[in-house]
This record gives sequence, structure tokens and C-alpha cells, in this order.
Amino acid sequence: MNRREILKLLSISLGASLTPSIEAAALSFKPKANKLEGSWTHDQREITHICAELIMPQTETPSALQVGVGDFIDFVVNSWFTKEERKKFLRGLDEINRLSRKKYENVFLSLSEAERIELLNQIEANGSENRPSRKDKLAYSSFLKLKELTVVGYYTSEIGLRAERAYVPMPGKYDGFFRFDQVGKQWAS
Amino acid sequence: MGKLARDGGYDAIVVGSGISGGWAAKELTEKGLSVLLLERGKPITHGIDYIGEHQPPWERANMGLRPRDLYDSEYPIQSTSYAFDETTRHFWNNDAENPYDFREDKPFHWLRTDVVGGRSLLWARQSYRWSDLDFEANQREGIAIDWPIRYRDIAPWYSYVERFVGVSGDVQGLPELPDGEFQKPMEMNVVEKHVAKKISNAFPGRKMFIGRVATLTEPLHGRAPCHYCGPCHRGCSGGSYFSSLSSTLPAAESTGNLSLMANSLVESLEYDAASQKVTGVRTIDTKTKEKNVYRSRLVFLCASTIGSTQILLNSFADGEDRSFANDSDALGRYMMDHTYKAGARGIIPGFEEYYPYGYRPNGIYIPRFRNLSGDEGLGFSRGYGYQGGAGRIGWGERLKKPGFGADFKRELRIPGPWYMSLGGFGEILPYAENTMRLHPKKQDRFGIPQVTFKFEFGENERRHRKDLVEQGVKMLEAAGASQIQSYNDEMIGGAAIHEMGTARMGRDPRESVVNEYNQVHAAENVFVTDGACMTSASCVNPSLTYMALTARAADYAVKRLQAGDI
Ligand SMILES: Cc1cc2nc3c(=O)[nH]c(=O)nc-3n(C[C@H](O)[C@H](O)[C@H](O)COP(=O)(O)OP(=O)(O)OC[C@H]3O[C@@H](n4cnc5c(N)ncnc54)[C@H](O)[C@@H]3O)c2cc1C
Ligand code: SF4
Repeated sequence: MNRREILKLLSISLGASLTPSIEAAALSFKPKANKLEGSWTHDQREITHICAELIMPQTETPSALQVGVGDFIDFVVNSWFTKEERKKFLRGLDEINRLSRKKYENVFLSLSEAERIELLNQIEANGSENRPSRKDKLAYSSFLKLKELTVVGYYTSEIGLRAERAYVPMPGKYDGFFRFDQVGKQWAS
Repeated sequence: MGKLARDGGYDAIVVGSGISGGWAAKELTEKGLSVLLLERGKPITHGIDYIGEHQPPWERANMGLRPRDLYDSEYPIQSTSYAFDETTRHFWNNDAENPYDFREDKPFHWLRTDVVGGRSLLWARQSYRWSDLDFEANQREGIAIDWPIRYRDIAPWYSYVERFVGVSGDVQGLPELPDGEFQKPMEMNVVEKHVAKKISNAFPGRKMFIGRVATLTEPLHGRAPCHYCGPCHRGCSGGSYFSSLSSTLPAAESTGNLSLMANSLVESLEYDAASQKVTGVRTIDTKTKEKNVYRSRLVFLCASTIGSTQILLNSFADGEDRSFANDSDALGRYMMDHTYKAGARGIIPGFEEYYPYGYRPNGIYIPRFRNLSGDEGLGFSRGYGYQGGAGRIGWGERLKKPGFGADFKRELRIPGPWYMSLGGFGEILPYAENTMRLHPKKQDRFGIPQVTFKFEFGENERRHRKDLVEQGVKMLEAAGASQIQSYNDEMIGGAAIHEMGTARMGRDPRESVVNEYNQVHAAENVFVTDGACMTSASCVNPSLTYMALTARAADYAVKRLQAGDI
């Protein structure tokens, strides 16, 4: 997402009827768009998108990439992460690739879907052990981050949020004895 | 523009349009005075400028993520508040533009807005009356000075403001937390009711009930009852919660007697030592830096505790280099707040078939139960109350466990277990050493000396916090909670946003700044009715008391004015 798109996004959310002071305040926030673009490789980006799709695949509701989680991940990695966060995150992705080569003699992007799932399950199992090795921890923490970004990205998109959560902007009442089976999903905030 | 008084000035000038100033403007205009309301903040339009209200998550600026660089560089203090994000940032002060000073090792957080309406837009609306337990505390314990008023002096004014504000709550009949003029209470949820019963069974004398909150459950003066959309600090165009913009300012405006000037920073007061009166209010236009002096017969300082005290500290008689209002040396001292960010939370097993519907802009309250009948030998004086609530943990819970794919996606729909949280607000004693002063060198962009804070917590505060954490854990245990976690975070002055006490009320001008009607001892036509006037802090949220004191002071001031005494 580039700077102009972000400003567009801002102006949508701010609406047209602004006092000048507030518009000025909103525009004074200039996200450093793509401040780090170009410093993650095509393959690294591809790994994140493939993982997102495995984390929240298509079911009776759309998949992560179908609701735009890819854009969200790009935005976070390019524009929102600090340099350190980003470096650590990308090292974790490289570690996933290294584990892939070790196990299957093939990079992550060339694995079959079954192999990818097997590998990521292994990464979660090793990483959540009592005392994971430093490298296992690195791969695991990047995968955990990806899970978080996928879920947050999914719930920030209109289609995803409406599909997986119950969106009631004006409930009209409070019911402290409401039964979960009447809604079956978590409220969207 | 409102009416001008005969001499070309106004009958009254009110400084600040927040909770206190809104009340002063309403009361004075309704009594027929022409009022100029001066506000340093930007203008704002009720409803229109609530950009975050009902905004769907997918439309949030910055994809809903906090622009951290910006917050670190321009809002390092304000962004510590739970109510600060991209939906509310336009209400808050910019710390880089309007800085203040404190010692790094003893931080003081000055949380403030920069808009018409002040913090009434952002407040959490918890509204409790004081009792004589509070008003008599200083005298009983020989701490600081005695309050010149008692509950009976303020009780009718609590009723008066509650009827206009609209406070919903439960009648409890507790002497330490008097009942008010309540609209019907909000509802506790299934787990809160369970916990409340367990607590009173295990601890006779302790009670937990729904919070008393300045949010309507019934229509009032054209304001709609709450529709449970939340979070409220994004604004409420239906006016369901009390704010200056939803309530007092429209009332003042409708009299035709109000002139409101935004972007008008009050620098100081012009004081005439001979008549012992303030003769003018000096302002700076925050856009053009143009200076002006406005004249009136009465001045109400309602610029918040710190704002009003700063103005007084910066106001001298001709040829003097010290505030005209500080013969007592109490001005700028005895800063209080409440202790905050200590308590406990735990998981309440069961009840998983329940999942509350609607956003309830309110929680539970457990009123003070310590030292109610004098010193109970606990090693500290006074006490604390708890606020909190029960709810179900969100999808973060599932996220932490291994697994991904279709099952994971489905499981994310199911809320986590119930939690119950109890967070304490404790009373801080008035210490002479806790001060706000004008910095000798640092100035703001208008050349006004910056405020510098020196604030430390005492042994009494540390001890009551330890007790409140322990008791929180015990009550959760009694309620059958598991995985109980207690917390006692770093104590930061100002962080509870209940700062008060720096122009305290007292009978004797040698030891206080204002009298029992909030009238400045040294200038009979000036009234300070915000938190600056507080002689002690109680442990309940303070704003309702500021409102009642303001209405009471306005009534007194106008009577004196009409009698020709001012
Ligand atoms: C997030 C949050 C939650 C809170 N929750 C609660 C709660 O639940 N219950 C409760 O009782 N309290 C709560 N408070 C505190 C409450 O908001 C304050 O106690 C209350 O607003 C104080 O009213 P005031 O009129 O004195 O000050 P404010 O509301 O701050 O208004 C002061 C006004 O004066 C203006 N001003 C300052 N200096 C100058 C100057 N030199 N010239 C011109 N104008 C000036 C300011 O811009 C401001 O508009 C909360 C506050 C916050 C921020
Ligand atoms: S929850 Fe109620 S008070 Fe809060 S913004 Fe919604 S309608 Fe207004």
C-alpha cells in the first residue's frame, strides 16, 4: 500500500464533513509508506502469503487471501514493523526455508501442500516445547506472528469480519444472560 | 455572540469548557448573566466530529494499527491512555506542541484534551457521591487541613446535577457511598451476579453492584437512552452519555447569553491589589498568537486542576513576582490523584453457554470497605474501591495454542472462558511536597512558563495498594476463580487522570486558596471550581463532585453579585 492509498483510506474513514482542524490533524500523520520496501524478497513475501492461506483456508467462508489478508501482511511488514521487528521476522522466515530444505531437500515454495502443513506442524510442536533451540524458536515466533497477522487481517476486512464474526454496530440493549448458541460466533468490536 | 454587559465587558468569564466549565457556563447563563467562555482547544461539532463513532473496523485509518512512530514522537504521554487511538486522537493534546516538564525518574502523566468539551468527551463517566467519611477524614486524622464543608452542604447540589446529567445506578443504602437521583441501573451479567453473591457471602459488609454511570438508560432532555454500541470515548451523537457538548453547552447556548471562543488560551489574570479583584483575563489566540484582554465582573476558573493552577501561578499584582493568590503557599502544592493499575483477575469456570449481547459502557463497583469505622489497625489510613467486570476472553486465547487450518478457523469463533477483573482506585493523601510549579526557564510556544511536576507516592499509598491486591485475590478465590493473576504496576502520578488539590479549599486564607464557596480568598470575584479546590481526594471518581461544587459556587456567586457584594 502506498502513501496515497493510505491517505485515501484515511479520507474514507474520516468522511467529508470535517472541521479544518481535524482534517489537518489527520493529514499530519504521514505513514512512512513502504519505508522498507525492496528489502524483503519476493520469496519471503510469497511464504507469508502461502502460510496465511494455510492458516485460514477456504471453508464455507472465504480464505485469508480472498479477503485481502495479503495486502494487510504487506502493509505491516513494509510500513508498520520497526526495522528490528522486521529483521527478526524475516530471519524466522529464512529459518522456515532452511528447515524445509533440511527435511525435504527443497525450498518451502516448492513443497506440496501436505509437506508444507507437515513442516509447519513440526515447527509449532518444536517451538512450543519446553526448551526449544534458538533456531526452532526463531521459526516458531515468525509463524506465530503470521498467525496473528492473518487473524487480525481477516477480521479487519469487511468480508472476513462479516463472515467469521457477528457484526452488530448498534445492539440497542445489553443482555448479560444472552446465550452463545443464539449467535454461534464472537462479536466484532 | 451573547449579550454584552453595560460596561462593554461580560458579566462573567468562564475559563475552560470541560466538565466544570460546562456547568459554570450553564448555571451562570441560566441565571441571566452574559458569559464569555474561553477555551484553549479547537472547536468541535457535536456528532459531526465523532469520526470514530460507529465506524466499522474495516474503515479504520492505518488498517486499524497504531502509527507508533507518530505516537512516540508527538503523543508519548497521551498515548498511554486506553482511550487514545486513531478514533480519538483529534481530541487529545499534542505533547510535542504543548510540552511540560517532570523528572524522568518520577514521571507525572498530564492527560488532557485540546478541544471544546475538554475531557468530558473522553471520560469513563463513573459517578459517585462523597460522604462525610471523606469530608471529615483530614480532620479526624489530623492530616493537611479540614474541609470547610460537609456532606449536607453538597448533597442538594449532587441531586441538582444528577437530575440534569442523568446518572444510572442502583440504590444501595450505604452511608459511605450515598445514593443519588438515579435512572434505572444497567444490568450485571450472569457471572458478575454469581461473583457478587460469593463475595458478600464470604465477606459480610462487602458489596459488589453495577457501576453508577453518567450514561442514560432512560430519555432525558432530548438525549437518547444508550444503545450499547461503545466504546463511548469515540463520541456519542445521540448524547447518551454526559458531556459538555451533549448537555451543558447546548443548555447554556439556548439562553442566548453565551459567547464561546475556542482557540483562546488564557495566559493570566490581571489583578488589582487595591480592590482585591481581578479586572481582566489575558488571552492568546492559539492560531494567530494575537493577545487580548477580556473584562468581566466574575471569573470562573474551570481549566482543570492543572490548567487553573497554572493560570493562578502566572498571575501577579503589578510589581510583584509571585502569584496574587498564593499568600498561603498552598497554591501548586498538595497535588493528589488516585492510585491505579493494581488489582487482580482470574478465570471463572463454567457459564460457557452465556455470551453477553451488546457493549455495556459500565462495569461493577465494590465500594470502600476499609477503615469505615476509624483506624482499623491495617497500617494505612483511608481506603480504596474496585472497578472491573466479567466478560469472555476473545480469540487471542485460541491464537496462543498450536494448530491452524479449517479447524483453527472454526474454533476461533468460540469465545474463551469467562474472566473477572477487579482494579483498585485508592485514596492518595495530600502531601505538601507533591507540587506543580512554573518552570523557571522552559516556556511553551506562546512564551508561557511550562508546568513542572514533582510527585511522589507515600508509604500510605504503597500499603493500601498491597492490601487491595491481596483482598482482590481473596475475593476472586471466594468467587471460585482459577489462574488468578494479581498486578501492581509502576505507580505514576496523574495516571488515574484524577489529579486534584493544588488550590485547596479551607476556612483560613493563611493555609488555603479558596473558601467554602470556591471563592479565591485574595480575589472575591474569582472562583476556582474544578479539581484544584479539593482538600482531600476520597477514592471515588471525582468529576460528579466538581459538577456539584461548580453549580453551588455559581449559585453563591450570582447571589453575592446581585446583592452588590462583589
Ligand atoms: C480516559 C478518561 C477517563 C476518565 N474517567 C473518569 C470517570 O469515570 N469518572 C470521573 O469522575 N472522571 C473521569 N475522568 C476524569 C475527568 O475527565 C476529569 O475529572 C474532568 O474532565 C475534569 O473536569 P474539568 O472541567 O476540571 O477539566 P477538563 O474536562 O479537562 O476541562 C478543562 C478545559 O479547560 C481547558 N483549558 C485548560 N487550560 C486552559 C487555559 N489556560 N485557557 C483556556 N482553556 C484552558 C482545557 O482545554 C479543557 O477543555 C476520566 C478522564 C479520562 C481522560
Ligand atoms: S454505548 Fe451508549 S453512551 Fe456509549 S457511545 Fe454507544 S450509545 Fe453512546
